[in-house]
Amino acid sequence: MSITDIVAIIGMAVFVPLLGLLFMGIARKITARIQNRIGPPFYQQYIDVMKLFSKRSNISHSWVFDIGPIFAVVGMLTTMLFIPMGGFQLLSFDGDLIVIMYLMVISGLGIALGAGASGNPNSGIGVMRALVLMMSYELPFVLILLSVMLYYNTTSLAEIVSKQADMAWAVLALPLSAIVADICLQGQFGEKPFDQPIAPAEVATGPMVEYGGKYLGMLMLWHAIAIIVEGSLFVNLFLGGGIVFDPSTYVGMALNFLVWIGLVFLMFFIALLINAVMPRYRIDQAFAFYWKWPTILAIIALIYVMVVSSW
Amino acid sequence: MVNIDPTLMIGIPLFMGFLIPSVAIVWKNSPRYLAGFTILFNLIASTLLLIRSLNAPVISVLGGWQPPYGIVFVAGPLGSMLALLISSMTMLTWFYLPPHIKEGNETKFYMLFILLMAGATGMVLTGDLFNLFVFTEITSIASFSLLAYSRGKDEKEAVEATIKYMIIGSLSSAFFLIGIALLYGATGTLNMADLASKIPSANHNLVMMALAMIITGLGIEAEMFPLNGWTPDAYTGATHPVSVMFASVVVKAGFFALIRVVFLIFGAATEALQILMIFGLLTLFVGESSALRQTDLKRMLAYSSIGQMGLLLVAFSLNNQTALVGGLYAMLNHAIAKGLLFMAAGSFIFALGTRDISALNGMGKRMPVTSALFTIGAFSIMGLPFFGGFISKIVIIAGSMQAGTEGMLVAILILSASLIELVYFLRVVHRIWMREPEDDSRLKEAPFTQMFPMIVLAAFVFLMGIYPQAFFKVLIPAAQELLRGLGTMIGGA
Amino acid sequence: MDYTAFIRPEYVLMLLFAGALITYFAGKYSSMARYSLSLLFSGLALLMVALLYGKNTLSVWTPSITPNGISMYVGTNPLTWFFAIILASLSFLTIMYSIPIMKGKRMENWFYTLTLLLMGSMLGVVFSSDLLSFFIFWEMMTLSSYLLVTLAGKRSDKAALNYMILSTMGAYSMLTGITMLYVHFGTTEFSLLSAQIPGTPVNFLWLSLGLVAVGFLVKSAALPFYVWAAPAYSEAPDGFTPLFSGALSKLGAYGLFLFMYVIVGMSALIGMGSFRGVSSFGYAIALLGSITAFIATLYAIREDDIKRLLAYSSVSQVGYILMGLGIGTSLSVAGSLYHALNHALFKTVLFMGAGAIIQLTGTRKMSEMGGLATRMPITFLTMLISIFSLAAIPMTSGFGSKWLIYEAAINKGFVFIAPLAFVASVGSFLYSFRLLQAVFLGQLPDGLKDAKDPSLLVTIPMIALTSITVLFAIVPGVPLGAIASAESYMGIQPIQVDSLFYFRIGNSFGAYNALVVMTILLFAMLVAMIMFAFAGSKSKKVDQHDTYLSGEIYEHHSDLGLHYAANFYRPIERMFEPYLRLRLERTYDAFGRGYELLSEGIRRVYSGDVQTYVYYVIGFLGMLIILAGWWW
Repeated sequence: MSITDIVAIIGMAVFVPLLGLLFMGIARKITARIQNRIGPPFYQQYIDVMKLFSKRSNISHSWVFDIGPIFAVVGMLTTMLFIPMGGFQLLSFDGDLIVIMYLMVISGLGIALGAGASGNPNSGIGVMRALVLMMSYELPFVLILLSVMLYYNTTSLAEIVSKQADMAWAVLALPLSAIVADICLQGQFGEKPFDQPIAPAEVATGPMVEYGGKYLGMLMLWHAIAIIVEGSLFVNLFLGGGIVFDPSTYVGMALNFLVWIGLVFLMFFIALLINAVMPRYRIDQAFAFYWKWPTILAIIALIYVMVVSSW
Repeated sequence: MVNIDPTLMIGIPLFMGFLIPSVAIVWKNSPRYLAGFTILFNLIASTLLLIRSLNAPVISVLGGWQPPYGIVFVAGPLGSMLALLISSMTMLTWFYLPPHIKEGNETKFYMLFILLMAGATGMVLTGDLFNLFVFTEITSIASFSLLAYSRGKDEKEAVEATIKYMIIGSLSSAFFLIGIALLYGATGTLNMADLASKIPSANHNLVMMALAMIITGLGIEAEMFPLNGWTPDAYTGATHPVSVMFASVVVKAGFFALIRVVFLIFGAATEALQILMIFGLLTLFVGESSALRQTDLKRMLAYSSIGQMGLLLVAFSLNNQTALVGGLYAMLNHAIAKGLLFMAAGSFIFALGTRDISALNGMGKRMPVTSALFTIGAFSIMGLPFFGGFISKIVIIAGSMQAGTEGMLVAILILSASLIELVYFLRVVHRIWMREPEDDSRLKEAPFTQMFPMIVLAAFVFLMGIYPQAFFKVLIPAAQELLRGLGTMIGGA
Repeated sequence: MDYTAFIRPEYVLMLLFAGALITYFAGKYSSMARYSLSLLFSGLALLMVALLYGKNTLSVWTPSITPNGISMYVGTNPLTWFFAIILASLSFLTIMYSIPIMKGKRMENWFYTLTLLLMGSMLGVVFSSDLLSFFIFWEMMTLSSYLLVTLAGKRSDKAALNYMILSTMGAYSMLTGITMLYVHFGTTEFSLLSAQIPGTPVNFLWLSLGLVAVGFLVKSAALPFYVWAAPAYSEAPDGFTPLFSGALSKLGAYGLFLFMYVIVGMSALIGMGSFRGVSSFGYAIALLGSITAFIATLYAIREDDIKRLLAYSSVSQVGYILMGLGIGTSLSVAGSLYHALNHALFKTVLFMGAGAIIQLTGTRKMSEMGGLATRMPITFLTMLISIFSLAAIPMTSGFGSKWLIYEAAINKGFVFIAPLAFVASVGSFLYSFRLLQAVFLGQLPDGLKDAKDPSLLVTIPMIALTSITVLFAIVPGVPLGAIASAESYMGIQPIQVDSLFYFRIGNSFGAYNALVVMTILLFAMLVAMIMFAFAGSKSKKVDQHDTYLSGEIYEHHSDLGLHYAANFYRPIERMFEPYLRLRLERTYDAFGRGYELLSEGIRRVYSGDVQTYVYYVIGFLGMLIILAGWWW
């Protein structure tokens, strides 16, 4: 591993949270405009994080409670480094899609641990909902992943990206898969109608209810990275990883990176639009929803891939 | 080496049977010792006979009349092995007897006891069909009388069982006798070897009719379904040592008679074997299934005996050497293990005063030695490794596999029945060791004289499980004897 | 003196069987002797097994014991050793753990005797090199484990009996299969058998292998035979469950490996029919495994009983082992063996922890516990890491094995097996979090205020196993080295392991570099810790009741309790329930009851009325005569 790689890793580790916070700020603005409000400035999230990190009073329930935010950040940071980001393929040859899927779980389990340790029943309910939601969207999502992996005959995300550069983007080759994946992305983002774990009006932000101060600050950072990671996963799977220009030149690289940012934002934006106008499902409705239509569509998509690839 | 004529093994007990009452008039305690002495004689004689017969079959002719006209005793490895089994089981039961016999009636009991042994020994050694009938009758009559001989509150039950047994038993003798008569009419001889050679040329219809009669007659003795109605009542009603004798001696002799007639005289008639196979399987399933829901310990053991006899029928009707060896092994194992089980059950019932299985809760704590012995017997019947039943099961299965696709079906059926057997025996063993007793008091174990035969039997069960080769030395020639048929065995005699 | 002459499998077995006997008699008089002797014998056996590494032996074990003079063989090879070392070390550690856990329990002396006996017979199963001794040890193992289950007393009766009946059913099916093999080939020794396999009729192989496989599937608690598992695992004494689930459940997989790859062999297996280069037989096993993994997960999600939850989890994880085993490629077999190791490591710790917690709280209901994490930090941490391993989090060894199995399934394009396995794995997050939340997190009940970690004898085995789990996460090459040699013994292309500490597993299809993942995790951990430590001010500890309750005051509602643990997954349980109501248990129960009723009817044949009996006799005779006239 060369020194440039290490610089790139550190650079990305700094850049991605900042980008995510920016997205979150813009999201607040957009939602406000849809709801005919003015909304906070787009840089409000930076101010919030700084405020939270400098808070004087922090409460802790136990050391397990402290693990929560730490694990959340650790898990997402690690996952991030294995995902190709607009031409930057940091470690993606050392871990394939399955590794990424499981690395993403670390932060979730971390938050769940911390939330559980708080002893607040709202946290417990929130975690339960989050886990159930995960099980809900994971079934169609796995089927979709399988269709992509079989179509490109690899489990490596970097390989999938480079094969899309050679052939067509997967969104064109496998449109049905892309649609289902986007439905799953809504659940991964935790946006309405799938925001049951947070559900401020029901369980008072669920897992986060006991967290404040620097704890909440770290959780915000986690959320910021998570948006980029989840969005980027979709972009890599279906939108060719945002690689449209020749990556051998520096200009091309820079442009690719910008395209990638744009595409990730696009995915986030679509989710936001749905979020802004949708009510919330009950958790069992969400489960029934995901295991019904998206799953059926995913199976059709999978059969399509099997037919296509057997030719 | 001392040679004891097989005839003496019948003659001396018969003679002693008559001697015992007369001596008892002068010496009140003599019957037990005289009987013991007689049994010991038979034990020694049959051991010597077995050793001799392994080299060549021992043929003894009564009164100098040569066969096929005179009465002949033929002791091959199979017959002498069974004679040894009979005399040793009788010996061990003799040790087990005392507390179970009503005082003041020992004389008659021992007389009948000796006669039973004599009859059974005669059944396995005789080479003449009519003699077989006579010995069967001696055995049956001794059995009826011994069955009626019960003490205390079971007496009524015993008498009822005796009447049932007698009615069915007389049917048995009648059919057997008619069968013999028909055979005699068809061939003009009753010597088994002679019969075997003459049957092929005899009137087919007559012979088949005779076979049907004999199978029915002897099937009753061999506990074959549906002829075994007498069995559960008889085992349950009989006093414990007599149950042991039924399971280990009487039924085995009856079974052997049946097999001998089918195999030796009819040269393993395939049609008859098919019938035996089907009814063996039925016997197996009916016996094991009936035992499944039993709440009466002795009745359960009785049904289990029926099931085991079915297994033996199946094994023998497979008609190949492996299956026959397995069948013989199962026969030995069943005689020994079921004898052990009946003895241990007898001790339980004697101590508890009830035959109810639910009374056995926690017996492992209350009567540890008897419980352990019972468990050994049960494990052997269940066919767990390191017990005799395991070897017999494996060998029978291997034998049935040699019989092709049908054989496989048979193997699966045998094993399914074996599973049922495992379930009900396990329930009992589980009760004995794992359940908490309602009454914690320690019960008195049986005296050493009773414990001794059980320990010997348990040792044999183990020995059969871990060193079967010793038994195979006898069983393989025995199986070959059966397969070859009697005619070739005694040659031109 | 040359000690190496004694490092032979037969001496290990002798040592253990003699040890069981000695322990029984010595243990009757002194409990100290019981503990030290059972530790000594199992430890010595473990040492001997460890020293067997890399050896290949085969020796005739006893004089012939069957009519045709079959000898019995005992030997060791890489496959055997891999399983033997798992079984031996788990047995040793479980005995150590049992000392405080089983103290004063019912029939304590028998427990140690039977555990040593079970250890001996389990090792006997893997060391035996012929059909007969394999079967004998198999039966011994079943019997001794049955007895161990019954030691728990009356409440375990039904579970134990069901376990025994199903196991015996399996064993008899196996007996039919192996007798077929013996009668057909005339030999029982494995290598002689496998030499004769080529050219055997396909139907014969299907039948015999299928019959044998039933026995192993029962022991693996695979569909449709899993019904014994949850009751037996949960009702067994706490001292025995770790061994039961951790070690004994692997033997079914071992048997399948043995018969499928060692005896029948890959080429004959493919010759029996294949599907995308995977033998149809193996595919069937893999399919059963994946469905088992899925269904058992659904059951585990519903459980509030800690031991039953872990029991269903065991069933599900063994499903993964079967999956990898069935697919039969280099990757999948490696994954399967690796998962067998991992499952042994983590499930043993989980059951040990569960046992310790049950002893502490006196209940198996998780919703009655809570908040134990801070009171029992060692138990919590070891169980947490084991749960991470169970959930295949990449910080633990458990990820490597599941990764291999997924890769293999996806590589072969098995679109039915792979998603089932994956969703089952997500489901495992659900039930394992339920365990964490209900037992360790949430509100500490007043009754458990002075709970503390169990004694060293309990924690040492847990810590030992957990450290192996973490260690193998960094250097998966170490176990994979042993697995590769086992694979080449089975005639499967061994997974590539270049050096001793091999970090990267994978091929052109996908990759997992354990070292990179662990380094990045540590790096990220450092970043997060620094961020946490230096930002803001130090945190203030608050009471567990000091939580946000929407303005309600806790004291007013203290009778309600704040521990969210009962009916944890109620919302989705409601969705599953209609389907789970079709429990297989009912079918078995109905069959059992039906048969008992039938036998009650059969028993009526013996009416006790002598006239009926006479009719039977006459009827029988009449039938015979008619038959004689017709057929003969």
